[in-house]
Amino acid sequence: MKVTRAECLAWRKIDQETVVIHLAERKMFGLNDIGGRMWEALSAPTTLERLEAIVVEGGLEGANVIDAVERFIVDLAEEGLVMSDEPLEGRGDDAEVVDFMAPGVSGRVPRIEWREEIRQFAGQCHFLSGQSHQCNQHPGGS
Amino acid sequence: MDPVVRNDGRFCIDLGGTIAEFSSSEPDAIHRMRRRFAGFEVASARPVISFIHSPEGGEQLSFSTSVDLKNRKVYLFGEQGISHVDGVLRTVLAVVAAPDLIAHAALLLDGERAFLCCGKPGAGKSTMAGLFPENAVCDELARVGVSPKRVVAKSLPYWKARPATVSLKSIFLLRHGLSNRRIRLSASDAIRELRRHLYWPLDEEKAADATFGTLSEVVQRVPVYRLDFLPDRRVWKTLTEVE
Repeated sequence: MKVTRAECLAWRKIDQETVVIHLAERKMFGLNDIGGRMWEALSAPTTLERLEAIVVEGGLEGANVIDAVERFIVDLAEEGLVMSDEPLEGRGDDAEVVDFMAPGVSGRVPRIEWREEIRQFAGQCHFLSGQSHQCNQHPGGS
Repeated sequence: MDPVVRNDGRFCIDLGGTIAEFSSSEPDAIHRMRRRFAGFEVASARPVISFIHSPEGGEQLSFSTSVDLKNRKVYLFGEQGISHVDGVLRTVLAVVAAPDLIAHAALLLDGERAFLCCGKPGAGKSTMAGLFPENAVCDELARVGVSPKRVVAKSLPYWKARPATVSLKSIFLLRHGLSNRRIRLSASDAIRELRRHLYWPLDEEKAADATFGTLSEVVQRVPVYRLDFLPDRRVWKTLTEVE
């Protein structure tokens, strides 16, 4: 199986985080440091084994590695941020439950740290008829 | 540049470096728009974006708006069409001004530098501008861009705005509070918070990416604070504190 980034995305590395915008879905995501390193690798179709190696380089060991990578890839796919050449159904579901928040582990597990919506009104200004009040709203809503 | 009074049913304004032209076959509409954008009018120049008003075309509706981004034209139809130009202008400007940011914010001068004060409606932008009218150059909309040497903020027209171009000193996310207190945000937290106060040109991928790039650079070059404040002039001390 190979996984790669989806289209219609923008991203930047900010401090230790990688911030990704899904332009079509109008959403913003924050990936932690190790998640950001995996994100860099996903610029081209990448095997899960390669992604697992990145997590191992980050200090995670044992069975947790596969679980962590699969869980992360499934999370990214559910948000429309990656595509895979094989179905991801079931991946990450039967993982031994890793205590991803345990001391010494959480920073080594790739993760979407946060998700936020971006409200945008430019698109709503196209061919508005009698509804331009929508264009008068501010970007964050009331 | 001195404004040139024209009587041919059109005039230009400078939106922080982007020239917009307004035209109408209705003299009263031109008069009203000129009053609205007073102070930002410039001599005729090649416009980046054109706003074209026609009193006709709203037979069944009081007004309608049509945006042709490809050709950088905005059509405002109907007698009330120009009343809605503010909302259309800021969202279209987010596209044509990229990579600059268009922020829902007040801009306050502090000498040769400025504070950008962001917040949702009721958070205190107008309150802050009203507390310091001598410093405020706009209370609703500002433009932010980056150059190798500085981050630049520019006021954009709204009811009480006046033109200004200054280096940006800090950004504050406003919130009415029980005391004056500011907390510095990390760059990633700043992006997460500021996203709410920007107009994103998400329909145009290149413009959106460029805007995101500017935002990323701004939060790494300019300190961003959450500011709880009481509505009196003592907050100036908190705004201008040196870390």
